[in-house]
Amino acid sequence: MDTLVTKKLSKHFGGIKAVDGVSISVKKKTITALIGPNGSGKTTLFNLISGFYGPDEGKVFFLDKDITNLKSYQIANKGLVRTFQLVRIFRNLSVIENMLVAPKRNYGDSFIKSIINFKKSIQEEKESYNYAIELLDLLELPHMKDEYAGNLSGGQFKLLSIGMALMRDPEILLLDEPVAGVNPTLANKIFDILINCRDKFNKTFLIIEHNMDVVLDFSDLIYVMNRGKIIAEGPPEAIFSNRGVIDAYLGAD
Amino acid sequence: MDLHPLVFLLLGIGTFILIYAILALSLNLQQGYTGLPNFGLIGFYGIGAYATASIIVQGINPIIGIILGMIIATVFGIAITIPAIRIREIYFAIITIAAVEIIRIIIRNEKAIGGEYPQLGIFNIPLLFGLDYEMHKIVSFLLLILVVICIYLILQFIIYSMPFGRVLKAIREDEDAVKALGKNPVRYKLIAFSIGAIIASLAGSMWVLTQRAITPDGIMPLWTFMIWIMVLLGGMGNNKGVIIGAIVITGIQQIVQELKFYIPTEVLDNNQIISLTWTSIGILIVVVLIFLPRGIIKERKVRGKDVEKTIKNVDGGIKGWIRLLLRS
Repeated sequence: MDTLVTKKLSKHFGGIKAVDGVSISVKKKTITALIGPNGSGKTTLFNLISGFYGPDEGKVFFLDKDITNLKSYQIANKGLVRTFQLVRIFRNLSVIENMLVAPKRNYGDSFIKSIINFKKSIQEEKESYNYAIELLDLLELPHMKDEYAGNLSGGQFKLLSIGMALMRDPEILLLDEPVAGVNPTLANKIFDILINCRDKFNKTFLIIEHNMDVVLDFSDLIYVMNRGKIIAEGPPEAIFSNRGVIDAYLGAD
Repeated sequence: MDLHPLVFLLLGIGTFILIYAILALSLNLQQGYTGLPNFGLIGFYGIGAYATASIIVQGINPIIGIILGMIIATVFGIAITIPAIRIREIYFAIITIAAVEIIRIIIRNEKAIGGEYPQLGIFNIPLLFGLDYEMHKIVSFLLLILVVICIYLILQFIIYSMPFGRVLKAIREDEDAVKALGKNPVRYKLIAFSIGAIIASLAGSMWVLTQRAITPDGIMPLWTFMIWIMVLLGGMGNNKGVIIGAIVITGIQQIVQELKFYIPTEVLDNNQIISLTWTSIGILIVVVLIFLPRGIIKERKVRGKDVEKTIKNVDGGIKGWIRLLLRS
């Protein structure tokens, strides 16, 4: 069973076919990378999968269930969480508050429930808080805990948004350029964290990334997009020797 | 009982301030924390005021009027926000201002709601608890202090102790990010807007009970802007700040208007004194926003320590709960 499957997904903006009949499948417990030149439709594909855009044609299946017409927050609640390329965090809240907005709560999410079961909602809060502190340690952000999120650096934005996504304990995580603007050491470390999540907690990742070093080192399978279409798929070694991919994206020497 | 005229004056000003403080707290929940620019706030106040006044005139217990006002305000609030809440701030502001003007115009022209002379409003509301006029003033003032304190504590609890309140702030910052985290912003916004509507309606009811009259001119859009000024000046996203905003603005307004008894009409006539009020408020806003762009008190930052304290206080029995309520 594949965690995430898209079938002939298409989205047009006016005359532009941003995503054109894309069928991909992401296997459980893998890190799948999505690469391609700028404007090839990678982020649009993410928006289609995560429910931020409605597709013109095609379907999305998550854990064998059709999620094509669900709303973005419903999809996130099912365990498919995404991050944004231009990081979206809550700038005027502290870092720890950003982390604590994220988790799925049985009591705290509903106003009425959290009043009736206030104690239980705070019990949940305690667990979330401890988990958030753990994750911040992992992401090398513990000293920034009380800082306004808006005061973080570009790389730290990325880390925080990954942390927020991990707070939800998702089944699959869609990361849009998670290590763009992050120094190489930390980029490797982020991917180590992702590998760790994959192996220990059976998490699945679909990642858009332009940093070929980490893609080559860490991904299990690569899809290459160009002009809205998948032009190649396969393990890293095969992709990096594929003539078409080199022409479209990596550049011929 | 004979009250000193100055005490009497101060009680009157205090009553105004406290009613505006309730409205400012309401707007602060909607705009300051949730980012819902409600430019029709005064309409919800009007609903509460007219519901209470109509009920009292019928000789029914005012409590029923207060509750009725809250229910109508909530229903009306939901009715205008369901179509408006999905759109972005500026359109939301326009829709609220339009919807509330409709209410005012209906009230102004409809005898069934606006009283026998709808242009003039509803008068002759009896004194509180059958007291004499001076005791009524004192009791009104004390009652309003109690109401403001209760609303303040409830709002602080919702925003700083409940995980729910944190999501409201997150919605203000970035709605799409909240959606990506599996929370439906529409639901949160509806609840925040409804709570704000209920509080505004209560302010209207309190106005009728304490000032004993309501006129359609009392729900002009102008008064919504006044409350916006209080929130901006006091500090958006800070409940203490907006109360201070209410004190400063209402205080200036009332005190400058008192000047008409001391300045001879040859120097400044009545209209000129009213203009003086607006001029002084205008100057104050400009000065404050240049030097304190986030208002007199800026929004409180919630640190890890604060979250730990909340968790500890909830575990700490009755004492912890009292600390939880008072800490904010």
